[in-house]
Amino acid sequence: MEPVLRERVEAVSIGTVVDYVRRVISEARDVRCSSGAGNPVSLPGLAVDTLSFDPAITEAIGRQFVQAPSADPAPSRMQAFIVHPGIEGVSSPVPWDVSKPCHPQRIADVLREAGLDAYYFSDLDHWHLYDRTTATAVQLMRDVGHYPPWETGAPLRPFLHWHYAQTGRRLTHCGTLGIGGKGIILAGAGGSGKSGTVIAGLLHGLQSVGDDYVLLEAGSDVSAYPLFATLKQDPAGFERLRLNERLGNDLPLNWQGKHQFTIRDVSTDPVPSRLSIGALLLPKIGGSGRTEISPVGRAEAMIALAASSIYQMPGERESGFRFFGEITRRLPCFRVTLGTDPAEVAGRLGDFILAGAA
Amino acid sequence: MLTSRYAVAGRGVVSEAFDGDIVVLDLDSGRYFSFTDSGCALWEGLVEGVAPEALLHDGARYTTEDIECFVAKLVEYKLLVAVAEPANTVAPAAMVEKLAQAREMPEVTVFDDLADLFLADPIHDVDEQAGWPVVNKPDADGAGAA
Repeated sequence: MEPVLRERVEAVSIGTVVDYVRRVISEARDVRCSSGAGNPVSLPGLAVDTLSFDPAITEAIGRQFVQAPSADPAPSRMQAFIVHPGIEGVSSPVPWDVSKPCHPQRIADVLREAGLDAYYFSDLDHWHLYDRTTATAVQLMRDVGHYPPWETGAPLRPFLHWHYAQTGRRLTHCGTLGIGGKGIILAGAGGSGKSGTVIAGLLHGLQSVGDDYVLLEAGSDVSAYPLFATLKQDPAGFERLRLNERLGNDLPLNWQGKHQFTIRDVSTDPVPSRLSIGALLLPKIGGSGRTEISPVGRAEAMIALAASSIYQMPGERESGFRFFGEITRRLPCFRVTLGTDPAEVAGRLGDFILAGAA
Repeated sequence: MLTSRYAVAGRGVVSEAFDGDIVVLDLDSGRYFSFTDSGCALWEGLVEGVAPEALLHDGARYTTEDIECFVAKLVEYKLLVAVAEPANTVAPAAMVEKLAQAREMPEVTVFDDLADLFLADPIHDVDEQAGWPVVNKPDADGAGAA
């Protein structure tokens, strides 16, 4: 057991970050408060035992995940604590020292050498901390509800990213569609039509293992696994896809000004536990009625897939670049210029998947 | 410049190649780079230590000045540095063949839309109102961004 820094620090810097992370994790592991909510999460190859002292995060953990079938007899285990100083034994989060130069890569290197990861959101002095050796994760906030607004859409995301990166798999910012166990991934910047395409597919008979964040694996073939059931759509897309007829008009907007719901809200089919991925598609909103699919260069496809995935996930950047290079190298890559009719888009993509190009 | 040997500027410059396409990422700046077909072939030659002048073959669509300009950009973008060792004066046959088949002028494209955000990780500061992840601008005295 590594020694743990016991004295309090005023601000965390590159010289103290390792000791600080260890101290907070040690405090969280010692928490013995009965008011926390335990919530087991079963994910591909991973069982997460959570203890949350924030009701909204607790609810999100219960709602947003796609629970994996318990086929894996010996999954890795992770303990995740969502805590704040209102819990006996938990100290207030210490801010990052803004008076000293910040070298993100060096900070990541220092943490990694110690078997740790950290992610800090300074507006709220909010920390995600992870000890790779013991698979212990701690989300530390100032008080109940003091977390970044995106947390409830993809709870535990940094911890899952760090865990899966160690196993050679990758949390990836992309959408997915499939049929009969075969599928495609959709990559691109915000506004490219990725999420609208996934929802259109779900509404018209296709399957998905997720939008926004899915787990990719480059094994004997490229596989995509579900983690989160979260779907999002801005009001214009919500209306265009006629989701208001299905979900009503009272669904609140999230921090991005989008309606947030889940795959279960738009499809009665069970989420497949895996899709065998046959192609990487770069969606683009088109103006014509028909959906067109044409080959695209791998460099462009690689940048579309890697750039947003790498910058949205803290740390592990070179390994991410290599991973997405491998995915791009192994898949045929296409541009899909989307038609205006959701049923036509879904039909075209379903035919594409079934035809074996994917 | 034309007789110098060049090398990748450091461990932070990583690349992936696919069927003639190359993507380079500078982990320190967060910028991505891609090349035209002749640019890909020239990059491969340069990182293997071939002198720029040895990459100018008979019938090439580009000139000495084009190569100089291309190399200067790669140095300016901190992807390559000149090194003291002598350069290879003969390009491998396969590389010459690749250069001969190239149809475009040597050019590099920079993708830096996400660079500021990339640099903000892993200890970062964002503007919640503007949406995530948007890096807060430093205060006038330079504080504010961790």
